[in-house]
Amino acid sequence: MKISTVVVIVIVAVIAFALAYYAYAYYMRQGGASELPASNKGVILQGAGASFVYPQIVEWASRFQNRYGIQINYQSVGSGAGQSMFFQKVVDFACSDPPLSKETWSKYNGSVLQIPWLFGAVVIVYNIPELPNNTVLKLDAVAIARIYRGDIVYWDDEYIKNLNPDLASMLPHKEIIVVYRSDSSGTTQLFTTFLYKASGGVWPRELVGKSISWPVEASGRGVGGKGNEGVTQIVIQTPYSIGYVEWSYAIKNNLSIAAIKNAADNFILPSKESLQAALENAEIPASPLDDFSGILDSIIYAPGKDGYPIAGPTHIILWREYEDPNKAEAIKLFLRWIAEEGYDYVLEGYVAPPESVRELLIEAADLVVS
Amino acid sequence: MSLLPFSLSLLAILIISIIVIMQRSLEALQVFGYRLFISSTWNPEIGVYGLLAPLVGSIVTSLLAVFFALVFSLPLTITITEHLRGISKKIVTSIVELMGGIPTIVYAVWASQYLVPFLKTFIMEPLHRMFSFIPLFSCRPATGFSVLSAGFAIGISIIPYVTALMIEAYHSIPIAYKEACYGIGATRYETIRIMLSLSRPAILAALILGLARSLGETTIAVATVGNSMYLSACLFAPSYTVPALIASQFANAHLYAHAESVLYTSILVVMLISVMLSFYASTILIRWRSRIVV
Repeated sequence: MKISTVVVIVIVAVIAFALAYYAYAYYMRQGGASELPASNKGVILQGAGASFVYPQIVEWASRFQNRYGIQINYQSVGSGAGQSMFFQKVVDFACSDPPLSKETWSKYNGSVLQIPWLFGAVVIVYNIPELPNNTVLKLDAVAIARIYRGDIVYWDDEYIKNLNPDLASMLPHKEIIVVYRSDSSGTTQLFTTFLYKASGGVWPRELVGKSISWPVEASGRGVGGKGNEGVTQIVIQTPYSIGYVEWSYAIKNNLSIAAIKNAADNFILPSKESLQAALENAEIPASPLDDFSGILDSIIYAPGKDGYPIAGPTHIILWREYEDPNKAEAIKLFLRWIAEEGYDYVLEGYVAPPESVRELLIEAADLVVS
Repeated sequence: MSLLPFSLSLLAILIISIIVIMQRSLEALQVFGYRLFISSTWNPEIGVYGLLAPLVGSIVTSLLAVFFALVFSLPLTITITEHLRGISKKIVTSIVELMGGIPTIVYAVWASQYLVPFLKTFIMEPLHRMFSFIPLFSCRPATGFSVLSAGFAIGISIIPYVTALMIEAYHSIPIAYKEACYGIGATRYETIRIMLSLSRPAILAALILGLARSLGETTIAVATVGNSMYLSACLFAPSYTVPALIASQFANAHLYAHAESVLYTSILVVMLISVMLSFYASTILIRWRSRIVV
């Protein structure tokens, strides 16, 4: 036998053995074979869009499939790509962090449904080795805006010290490494909208969006990470860095989360309660056929003393008419199931919408026809 | 005859994709013109685009990658062809071939987790401390994610490719040259030097092909280059490359006017550069083969 064949066989055998062993151990931990799901109509729903909802949809899809035998395939390709695939009828539904723009909405007015079916928060994470684990850094929009503009260079800047009198002596004289999303994303949209609304002019209007040109780039202290996982990894790896990620990533990776000053001048940490408080003021349209493009503005930096200021929705986008009656039925079933049962299985890092959204889901289920 | 449609369809796909890319980039070229290539701002929200930083970043990163690939490939080639015999030669050769087959995502994860912090602590920081008066090393390495890291990581990933090309070139030199060297009393070292100088055009061609390949490297670039629209003479600063920009921005480009078209333009530029480089390299190789073979 040729020596290269031997090398390949040995490597493949080692990897295969390790994989088989881990798979077996995992299988045993899960308690052996589980019962097979009752097979139903065998309908498959195709979805695509925001990566933000992906873990939650996977959770819902597996529970929904166990219950009704309807399979849901979701491709986490990004909000924009999801919308594009939806309008080209490649997929049956899309998920998008921003709702349809006003132009798109009026173009398809009456034939497209959208529902803000899940909410999440953007959290500010930091890596300062000097700070003990039980302390929480407090920041306000002006401080964050000045850091992301490159005006605040060191962690022991007077402005940050004044916000954190209890930590003032521990803040190091080190340059802040500023981490942001390099890809265009709804997370960046929420973050920059908050900076614009809450910083009183320090963060200008033209720097709001899903993908912007960061002023701090000009100082060479800015680094972009692709996706939440990219930003998370850079923050973990880089001492004295600051970044913003979706809440669930910060929890999973045990990052230090900053308390943010809300509109009532209280410093609030993200939590289920503080997010629900933030959603109390949400202006959610009365029908899934309405224009949703104003909803973000009503949630971010909303008045209310306990609300966390950086939260936002992600929308499911559906056609009103489906050619295939089975598909229409499956979608109706899915929407009703989410409204009635699905919100009991919301993963950590997300928050279920207010009661009015459940009514929207039921209404949408009634509107879908084939 | 029946194989003709299959063999020609690949050519057709290539031509069609070039036409499509040209068509899609036309819009951006008409709207922005040459301004696309002289600015480094990327703000789709207000419709401002600039490709200068990613283009410069791509070229610098690829040149560095080729440099590092050369540093490792040349000794590897000589070791494999001249010094190793029998079973050890086979083992080393098959390891190099295996490295070429590893998916780039593996290199990307390894580079971003281990290589970048290593380079930052043991290469960039000492260089910056000692030679900060040289512009290349003038900026303090903030995170390690930088042009240098990306160049090094991509360089490692193309070593197997470049080495394979070099070994092939080395082997295609007729044995008569080597015999002649030893025949006139040259030492082994002198023989290797003569053999290398004979294969210099082929080595150059291998490097150019490696350059074309590293221009298109995406996964590793996205994970190591720092993804920052920042133009600097310093190798330790974060930057961007064109493939990293496309990977980062394409998903949501549909939401903005002209954004897709601008990305197609950047694809067009990279494609033109790598097609030209590949063409140039293969002309060198063909000329060299016809001259060297006796």
